Amino acid sequence: MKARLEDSLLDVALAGFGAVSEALYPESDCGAPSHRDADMVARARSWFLTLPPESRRLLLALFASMELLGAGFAPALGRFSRLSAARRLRVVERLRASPIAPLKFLGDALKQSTSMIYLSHPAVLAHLGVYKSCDHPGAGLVPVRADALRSAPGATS
Amino acid sequence: MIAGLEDVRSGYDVDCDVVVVGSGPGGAVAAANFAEAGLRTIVVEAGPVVRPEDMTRAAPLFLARYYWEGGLRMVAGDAPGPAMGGRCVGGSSVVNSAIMLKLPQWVREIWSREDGLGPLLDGAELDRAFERVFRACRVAPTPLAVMGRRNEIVQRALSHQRVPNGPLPRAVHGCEGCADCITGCHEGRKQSVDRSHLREPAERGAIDVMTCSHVDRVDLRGGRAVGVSGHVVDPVTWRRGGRFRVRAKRVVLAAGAAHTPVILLRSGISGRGLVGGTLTAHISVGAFAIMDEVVDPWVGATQGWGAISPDIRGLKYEALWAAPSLIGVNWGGVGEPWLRELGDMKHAAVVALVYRANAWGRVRVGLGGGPRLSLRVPTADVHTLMRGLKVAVDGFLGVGARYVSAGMTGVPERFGTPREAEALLDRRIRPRQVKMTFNHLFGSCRISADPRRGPVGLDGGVRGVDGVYVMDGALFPSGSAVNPQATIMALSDVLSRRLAGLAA
Ligand SMILES: Cc1cc2nc3c(=O)[nH]c(=O)nc-3n(C[C@H](O)[C@H](O)[C@H](O)COP(=O)(O)OP(=O)(O)OC[C@H]3O[C@@H](n4cnc5c(N)ncnc54)[C@H](O)[C@@H]3O)c2cc1C
Ligand code: SF4
Repeated sequence: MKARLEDSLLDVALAGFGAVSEALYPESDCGAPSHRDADMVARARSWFLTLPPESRRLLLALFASMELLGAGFAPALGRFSRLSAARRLRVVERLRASPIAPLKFLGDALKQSTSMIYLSHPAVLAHLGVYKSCDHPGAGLVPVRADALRSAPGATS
Repeated sequence: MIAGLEDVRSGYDVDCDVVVVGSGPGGAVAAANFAEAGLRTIVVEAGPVVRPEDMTRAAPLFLARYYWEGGLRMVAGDAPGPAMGGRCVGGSSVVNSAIMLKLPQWVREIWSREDGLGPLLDGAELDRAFERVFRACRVAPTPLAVMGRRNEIVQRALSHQRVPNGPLPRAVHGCEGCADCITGCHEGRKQSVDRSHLREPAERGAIDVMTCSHVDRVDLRGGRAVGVSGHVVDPVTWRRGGRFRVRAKRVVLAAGAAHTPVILLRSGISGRGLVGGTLTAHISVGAFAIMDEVVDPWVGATQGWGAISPDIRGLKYEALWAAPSLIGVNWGGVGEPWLRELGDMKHAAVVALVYRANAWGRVRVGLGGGPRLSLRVPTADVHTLMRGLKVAVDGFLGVGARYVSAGMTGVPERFGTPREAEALLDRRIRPRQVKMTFNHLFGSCRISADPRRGPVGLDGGVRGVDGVYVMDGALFPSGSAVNPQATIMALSDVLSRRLAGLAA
């Protein structure tokens, strides 16, 4: 019973996560991968399932309540995912700009948690130009100017 | 021996001379000293060993597995913000930037004056402890060769503002400058305490480390410690395993400033309200500069360069980087405009400001039995922090930044000129407008000669019970003003050597 409840909570939360992601990481002509390219929902699922139970429940509650109640922030009724992507984006923007602390907190949490998933996809990292000096020894490791130390020897030790 | 999940899954009942709860900087040093003194020592650690093959650079997954609350732990209060902490063998030393600095003399004086710590801090004993710790952790200034442009730009920005600066001393050996410290050192270069203090004694059988074992309480009989008990947790499925018990006459709590008070409170030890009652933290903000030049901020030692403010006592600047999926989450707006700006990230340089504020609060036992943290950050301290931030912003602008952002609300999103950055000096700024982090927590079980100020006496013993000691960041009477790991280790070294009867 408990397991079934958790499964349905997960489904609703993932619908909410997908709805927020679609609005925040749309297809565009700027070369940045979209929510679809970044496989957001599947990766969010594995993140949720890796989290310890208390944190998982917190995030599931966040996205499930967004999915079920988020439409209430816009003048339309129904599930958040049924609003147009443009409208969903406006809802998140409005939440983030809200002078009411809990609403702002909610808006920021939506942006932060979805961008954690977005910004960790390899295609997005490639788009940013990220590479690792340990994978390419020496690459980009420009030594600091040799006289740098003279500015204040031992200032930090 | 290091006992993994399969060794402990169904629970256990063992005995030893001294049980150390927590394998972070405080616990590892204490355990190594007890073992050196020939005491049978068991370390009980809630988290697993982080093996290089289990490491992933996908930060959300790494945090979910190896950080408390999956990396989502928060401090509540007037400036809510994250308070991260490692949950693995080695504690936060596995995931931190390995900066190692000695406790400044002026903080030693405050601790001596306000809490009577002179007998611990004034002689040469603490200096020798720092030396031992620095040797074991191979501390050295970050080599110039692994700085990368990001650290160099921070160096230029600080010099522009005439803030004396230099390479930060770190506990690393052969750092490759991959800027990935926050998800563990894939290359095994960081000298986290699992390497520097636990590995060798565990391999030769002088210490047993019981992993995946969450201590619930200290077991007491007639006001004396007789051991600890708790339950096994599978670090992958989070399922509970069997119960365990470690019998010992001496219990050393080193579960960190968030968890040590929780274990005491759950054991019925409240120290007349002092346990958990004096939580404090350094407050921290970041300044993100976008330069004209390509910086490739993901290249170069995570926090290789820094400075101690000459004008604001207790304020530090440190170059910073972390996985884009962590450092980028507060970046700019949302939607397509944000996607268009993402290309700017390769032009970014970041400096973090860390300030010894007068932020005080409490650790309570939360609903799930874990810590619930809250802090009050004085507005005046936030204004001081903003003065420091203005220096950093001006420094970046002075060396050619296109713009600098602090991710705050109520001030312009971006500062393009020093004049625009004067908004940071507005006296109407309130703590909740600032995006703060609290990764340096301490003080929740303060050590003090005065029993009205702290529940822990100068021998590290918890007052009112026999055989229970604290040896971690919870001890600090107030902020250390510099990164705390070295001081936690040195204090733990002094206290544990005394307790074990080793030469100081
Ligand atoms: C991202 C980050 C970067 C940082 N960078 C630096 C830096 O560069 N330099 C610096 O000096 N400091 C840094 N710090 C702070 C520093 O790492 C900590 O202050 C320090 O590790 C605290 O040491 P500790 O021994 O008190 O506790 P911890 O390191 O927190 O260790 C406590 C251990 O106890 C375990 N534990 C907790 N509860 C239980 C329980 N109930 N049962 C069993 N085990 C338990 C935990 O899993 C953990 O392993 C950083 C912190 C973070 C999070
Ligand atoms: S910068 Fe990279 S190589 Fe250097 S200590 Fe950190 S994780 Fe290890």
